[in-house]
Amino acid sequence: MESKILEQIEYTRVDGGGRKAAERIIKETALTIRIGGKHYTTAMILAVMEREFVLGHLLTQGVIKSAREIRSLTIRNYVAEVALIDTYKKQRVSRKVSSKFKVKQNDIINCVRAVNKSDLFSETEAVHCAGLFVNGSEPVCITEDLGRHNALDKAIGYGLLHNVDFTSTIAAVTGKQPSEMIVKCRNVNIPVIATRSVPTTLAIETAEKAGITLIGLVRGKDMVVFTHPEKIA
Amino acid sequence: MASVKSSRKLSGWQYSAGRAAPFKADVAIEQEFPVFVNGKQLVTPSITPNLLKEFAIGYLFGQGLINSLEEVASLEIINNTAHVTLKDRRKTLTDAAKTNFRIVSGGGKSIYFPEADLSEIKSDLVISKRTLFSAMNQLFKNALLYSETEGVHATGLFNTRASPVCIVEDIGRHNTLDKIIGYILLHKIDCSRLFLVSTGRMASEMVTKICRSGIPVVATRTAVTTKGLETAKKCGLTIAGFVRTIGSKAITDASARTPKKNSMKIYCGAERVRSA
Repeated sequence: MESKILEQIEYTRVDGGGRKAAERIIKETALTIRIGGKHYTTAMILAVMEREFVLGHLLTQGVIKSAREIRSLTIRNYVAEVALIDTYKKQRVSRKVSSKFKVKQNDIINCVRAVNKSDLFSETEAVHCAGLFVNGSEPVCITEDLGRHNALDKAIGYGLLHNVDFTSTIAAVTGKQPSEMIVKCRNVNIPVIATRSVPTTLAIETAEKAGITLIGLVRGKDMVVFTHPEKIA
Repeated sequence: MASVKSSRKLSGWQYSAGRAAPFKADVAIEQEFPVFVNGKQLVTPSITPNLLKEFAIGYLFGQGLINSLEEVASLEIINNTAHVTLKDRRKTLTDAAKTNFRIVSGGGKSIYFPEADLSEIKSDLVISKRTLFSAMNQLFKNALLYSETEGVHATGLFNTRASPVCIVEDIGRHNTLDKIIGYILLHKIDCSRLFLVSTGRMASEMVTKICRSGIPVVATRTAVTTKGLETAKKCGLTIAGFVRTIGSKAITDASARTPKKNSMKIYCGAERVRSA
């Protein structure tokens, strides 16, 4: 069967006198989301967990507040048709995460380590990973995608389908963290986000206002807590 | 250019083996930069606030909303907002933006235009792999924001002597490319004998923008995707991937590594690269 995520291609080796060699690279797929028959967006994704991606994306963008607002979701030929319930009314998302959640330093280190262990990354160096962990220790899922935003949407969509209480989870992600990643966490009430890499200034400001603990540079036994250290046990 | 502050020192707490101490980190600046076209707001990208004019023009061009600088009547930057007036004052572009935008792998929203609009790149440029390696080293040597914050991408436009024409750093790899293309348009640079060097992945959207600009060669430190490769082959763009040089210490998520020898893979358009 043809792989949905990898494709074998030929390249030219410069040190081998121009000889050809083969390797597998990441397949990029356009997935269109339509709501009530109207085009909502088209995303370039890694074509796995499409259902989770669509649900997660609608939730993180504040289109829906729970899975109950979806009447139906069918995905065919990379077109997702979403129907919302008749009583659907767009609600404002909260600008602040309320959570009494506390997380241990060691758990943060383990979560970040877990999302930095992708075989797909080792082979292609072209994917990002995101993971959700209940109480900072029980993995809900770890996802991969071309884009870190998509990977986080997939993880959150998976959490939604499995009734995960986001207020007691930590999101561990790979790569730099711009503000949009923090906004996604805020919109679904994820109180802690951690990365091996670094955030931007606007990400830090957004996390500060939202009450989110933003942790970067998680390396070895060290980490830098940029906002709300009160959630570190 | 260098006078624009692109990072800010912010304080946090460094936790190390159970102990916390105050910590100052250089953090790359991210700022919202609304772009208005003919009085209507088109989009609000998040960018590193430098080369604002270049970004606005390059963005409109890269998205296929303008085909040349001639279509622009005026461009003003007021309070970190771009106000673009087109010669065709009735054109607002917002309808196209609302119905057709896409989420691309860099996380940005972009307006989709059919790849059929792209034409073949015309260039007789041939460069040596040594020039590509040397340009990659130059890019890292000049990427001060990258070494300071780790939080940005860098892209450079180089000539055949591996001298930089323009080097840009930004929190988004798409933004670096938009700024370079804007620079090319505003300075009326003929790029048929120039090439790009970048730290970013060559996914569909990046490649589409390069092909639209007519730059014949791009060398990236990282990977290419299937869609990127497809478009590149169609337009005759040369892509060298995984260009790793001894001088390009790069921090990836997996580890910080310094390559022990120079290496690269040519994914398409290999006839433009001399192995000497």
